[in-house]
Amino acid sequence: MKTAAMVLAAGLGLAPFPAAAQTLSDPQIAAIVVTANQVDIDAGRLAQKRGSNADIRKFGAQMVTDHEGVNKSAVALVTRLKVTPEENATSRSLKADGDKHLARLQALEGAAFDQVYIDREVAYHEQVLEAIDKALIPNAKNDELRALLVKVRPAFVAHLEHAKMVRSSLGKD
Amino acid sequence: MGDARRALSRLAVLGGLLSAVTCGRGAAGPQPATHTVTIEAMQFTPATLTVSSGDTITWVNKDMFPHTATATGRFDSTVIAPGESWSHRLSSPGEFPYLCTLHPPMRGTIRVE
Repeated sequence: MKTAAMVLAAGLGLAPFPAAAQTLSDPQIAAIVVTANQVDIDAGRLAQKRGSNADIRKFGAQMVTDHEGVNKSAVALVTRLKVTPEENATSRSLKADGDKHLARLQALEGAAFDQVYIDREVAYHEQVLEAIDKALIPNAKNDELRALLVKVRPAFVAHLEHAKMVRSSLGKD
Repeated sequence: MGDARRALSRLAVLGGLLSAVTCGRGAAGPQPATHTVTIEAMQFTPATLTVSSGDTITWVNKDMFPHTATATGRFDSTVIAPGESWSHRLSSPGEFPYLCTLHPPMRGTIRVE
């Protein structure tokens, strides 16, 4: 039986965790949202400084601005709803994976940095979108939390399209 | 003298009628209007907007992140922060595609008639 959490973990290229895992609670969803944004903020900060192509630097800066905007709204909402984000296996895996990717980027420079960064941005946004659709929105119990996820979804779609545009202009795809 | 006075008063009435008609709405041409484009969920709504020359368009950013409304060489809002708005009056007729420079997939068109 595939639980929402297993779908999420598998989609993000992570090892699925035990079948005993329950469906996601609102506090767990909140932690996943905040972590997912933070991972892209961290990568974006690195890209805006270290990207060799101007479009990469600009894209990285936009990821920082947009994902900080989403986190600001998400934190404001959960604070008002008195929902405390609850770290869970999925949010921890997201963070660990993000840190691993950052370490890999730190060792790169020039065109190699740009390529690895943008390839990951395309894959990451695809995976987060799948997680939003298959795990986060279906499991959200609070109407306002679900509405926030629905409102945020188009941003991930736009980011994905934008990342693909930037990737093509790097001479690939 | 009665004729002259009657003629004059008829002229005055006529004059009054004429000024009433020309100063009324519609007779001097349509009043400039203000239109709103809402920026939300990474979209410009309405995506295509038709306005009359001299009208004003106000873009309102209801999204969680900044956007722009930019038609290179025509108009550029520069950054519109969440919750902020930007107004622009368009005089030249034509069709003006525009986009958000921060999120290039976001597109809209203004048609000025």
